[in-house]
Amino acid sequence: MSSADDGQPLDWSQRISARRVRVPPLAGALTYLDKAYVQGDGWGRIPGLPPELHPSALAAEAMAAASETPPWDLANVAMGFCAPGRPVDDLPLSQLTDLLRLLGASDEAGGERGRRLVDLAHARLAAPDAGSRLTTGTLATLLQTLRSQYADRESEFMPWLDHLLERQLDDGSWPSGTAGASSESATALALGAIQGAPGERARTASARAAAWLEGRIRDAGWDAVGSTPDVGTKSVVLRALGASEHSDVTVLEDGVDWMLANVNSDHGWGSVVGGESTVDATATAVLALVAAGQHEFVPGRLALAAVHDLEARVRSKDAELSTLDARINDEVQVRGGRLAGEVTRLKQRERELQAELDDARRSAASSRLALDELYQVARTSPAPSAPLRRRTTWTVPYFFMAAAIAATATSIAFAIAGTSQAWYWIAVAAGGVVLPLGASALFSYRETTRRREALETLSQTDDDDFELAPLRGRFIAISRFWPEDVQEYVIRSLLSELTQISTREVESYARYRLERVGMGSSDQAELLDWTRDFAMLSPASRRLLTDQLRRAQLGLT
Amino acid sequence: MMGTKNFNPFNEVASGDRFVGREKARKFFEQRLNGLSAGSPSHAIVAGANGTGKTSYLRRIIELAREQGYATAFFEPGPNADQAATMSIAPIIGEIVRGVDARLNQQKLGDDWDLGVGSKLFDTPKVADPPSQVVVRDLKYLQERMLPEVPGVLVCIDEGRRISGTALSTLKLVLSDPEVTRFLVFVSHFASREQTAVVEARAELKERAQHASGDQGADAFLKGGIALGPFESDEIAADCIRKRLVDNVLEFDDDVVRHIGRIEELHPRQMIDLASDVYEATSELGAAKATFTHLVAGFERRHPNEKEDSQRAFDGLPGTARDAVAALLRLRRESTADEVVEAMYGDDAANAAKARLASVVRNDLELACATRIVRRVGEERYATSDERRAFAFDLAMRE
Repeated sequence: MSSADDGQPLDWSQRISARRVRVPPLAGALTYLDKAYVQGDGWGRIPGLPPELHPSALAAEAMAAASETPPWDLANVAMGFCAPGRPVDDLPLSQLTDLLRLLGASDEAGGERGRRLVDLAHARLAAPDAGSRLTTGTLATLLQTLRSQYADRESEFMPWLDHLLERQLDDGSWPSGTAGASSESATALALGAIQGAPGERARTASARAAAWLEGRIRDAGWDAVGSTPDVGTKSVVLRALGASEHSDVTVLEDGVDWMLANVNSDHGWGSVVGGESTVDATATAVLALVAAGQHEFVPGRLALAAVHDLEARVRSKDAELSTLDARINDEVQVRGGRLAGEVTRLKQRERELQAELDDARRSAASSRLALDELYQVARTSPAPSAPLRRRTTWTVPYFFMAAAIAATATSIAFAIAGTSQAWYWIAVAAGGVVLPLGASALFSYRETTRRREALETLSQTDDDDFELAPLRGRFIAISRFWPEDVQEYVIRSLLSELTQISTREVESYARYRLERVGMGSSDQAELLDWTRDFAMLSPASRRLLTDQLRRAQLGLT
Repeated sequence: MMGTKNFNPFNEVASGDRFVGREKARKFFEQRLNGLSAGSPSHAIVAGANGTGKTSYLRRIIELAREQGYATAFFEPGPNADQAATMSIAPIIGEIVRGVDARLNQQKLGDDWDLGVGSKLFDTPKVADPPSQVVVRDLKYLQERMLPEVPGVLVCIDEGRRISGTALSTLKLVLSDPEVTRFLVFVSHFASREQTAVVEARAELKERAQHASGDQGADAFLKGGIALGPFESDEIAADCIRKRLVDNVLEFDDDVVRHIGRIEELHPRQMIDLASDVYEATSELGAAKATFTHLVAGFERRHPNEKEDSQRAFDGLPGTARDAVAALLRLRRESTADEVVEAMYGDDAANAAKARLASVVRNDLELACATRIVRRVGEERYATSDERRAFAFDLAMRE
């Protein structure tokens, strides 16, 4: 019997409610209240006395709380206390609260009369100094009634709930007024009023109040609540703790035991232990027992069936939960796996980047070292044989050749003419010196010409290399009229060095080198300008270009 | 009609013109004054608790004596009323001299007295313990100077606790002299209980004189005494409030005045104090007339403890107990539980039910006794503890 035929879960609370059996003392108390009711008029303080508002409100609330159907004419009872000759407007707030309780128990709370009473309570609270004159109990009882029976208007009374919270003392209790010593009754009533109120502040205050009350009970027992024979205060405290989510079940059970041990033979309670039963005290005791959950028994078979059904439902829910757990785990695994892969990939990338960074750092460090070495070399290496301060023209070979020819011709002429022997020897000597020189110069000239031609050829080579060709041509144009050793120096040393250092160091190093060798300013400017473009090349391109120039400069086309 | 004074009249010191009631005390004084005029003065003690109107009474009899042509001398305690008893006889004699001077519209006696050791007319030295014979001689001299124009001198000494034991002893010796017959002395003295006030005060004076000078009967010269307590009636108490409000911009509702008297159980000083707080509360709220609302505000200011006790009792008592206490308040007398039930229901309930309720009410009143609102005054008889708590409880019931 775990579920109904239509598959919907059984509503056990409804079924149990239909088959409930009252706890005997409570059933007796409700019978007591039922007998005390005067049809259409309400309850007196004790059976036989004329009906009055306060016992009527308590009894009606108690019957409603115990799920006992209250008398059908409670609304009329309520109105009977309002008129005639007793306008509602003049009622003290405590009696106004009683009227609201009465109407609330009669399902008239939402009606016009209920709304008017709530308006009236609102206006009464707004009166000057109302906050200081109201006792904590009066204010708390009103707020509890409004919150439980007129919940749609709860927000209107939130400032008063705050006011009640402000009255709470540091130890968690409440005084009866705005200040003063702790009061058990006031604390219990305030706890009942703030129970379940929204906000962390109310929740904390509720826990502190329950702890304060329970602390006193643990220290001195239920007998000491109020005074030893006082039943009313114990009922109020038990009701508040019973409704509180913060209360200790042991304390509650002791309280229930105390109440049940002190019920009178007529099933009612008196205001003191053993005293004549009254409607007030009996109704308050019923409210306390209901709040503590001690008002009815459930038939054993029904309870067992309910327990089994609930167990089955719990097992079913457990299974659903397990499935859900598994799915969640799977999903977590899949998504987690993706995430883990991504994380691994990113870590790998990070390592690669780190390696690159390390390489770059090492490269930079080695470049730095290489540069330092180059500077060292530059400082110590000898300069070219001739200063490079001006452009050199190639007139010397021609001069030497002309001189050699002239000397040879002269010596021949002297020989033919038979001139003096002195002149002869002079001519021979001149020819002997000049001719080798002239030959050497001629050889040199030819060599130079050959190299220049090689360079010219290189400059005109169309190898479709749009990167190197312009630079190559520019360099050859710039160095066309340089002495060979200068040209060789620049290509062999300088350019070779420039291939080894980083881009941003190229120009400054070239400037340093050229100044050190004393190159003329116009040549230097042109070459530095070229060097800037040279530096933009990759190291491989730089090496290639240098190699090309070097080969051309050696005449190796 | 609205007055012009806009200050709190309840903060002013006591004065004779505001003295009301006390018919018995007035007659007592008139008898003593007649004795003085006949040359057989009967000195008296005025005893009562703080705030019962002793000073006002002395001021009032001073005025009455002046109206009848007597010279007067009045000693006030000054700002240090609580200090030890140090008042000696010389200043008292000096004040009598100045009183006679004033009555004769002159200053020469007083001026001569002020010369001290150089005085030509008086011999009393300004020491703590002068010989009584010298004092007697000076008083006789004063009698000669003022008679027959001035029939006698009324000497009022406020706060008799401040008179030193030796001064008391000297005063007794001087006033016991058969030739000193034109001086009537009234001494006020604190006493805690009205019923035994004079006996209590006399015993204290006697003990002090005995302790100081070995005098066994210094109080004996004070032949009679009058005890001051609460006002005799509500109406007189109300007059006390109204007299102070004469020509004031603020008025008190009659109901408020009546309540003040009731709350303070017709005790003069306490009534004045509560009225002062009500006046302040009314003034702060900008009202021209003190109503019940202002009374409540003044009461809460003056008696916060009683308010707290009552609120605690109201919150802690079951509904039937509250109504029983309320009925006891209405009865305003010591009552049994049956009487309380009768006050609650009268003829509206069956006797059997009322008898059952009486046992409930008895239990409830016992619970209420623990709250200090109700006290048991005898076998199964109950009364409210005091009017202040009763009023505060009534306020809680009204809310």
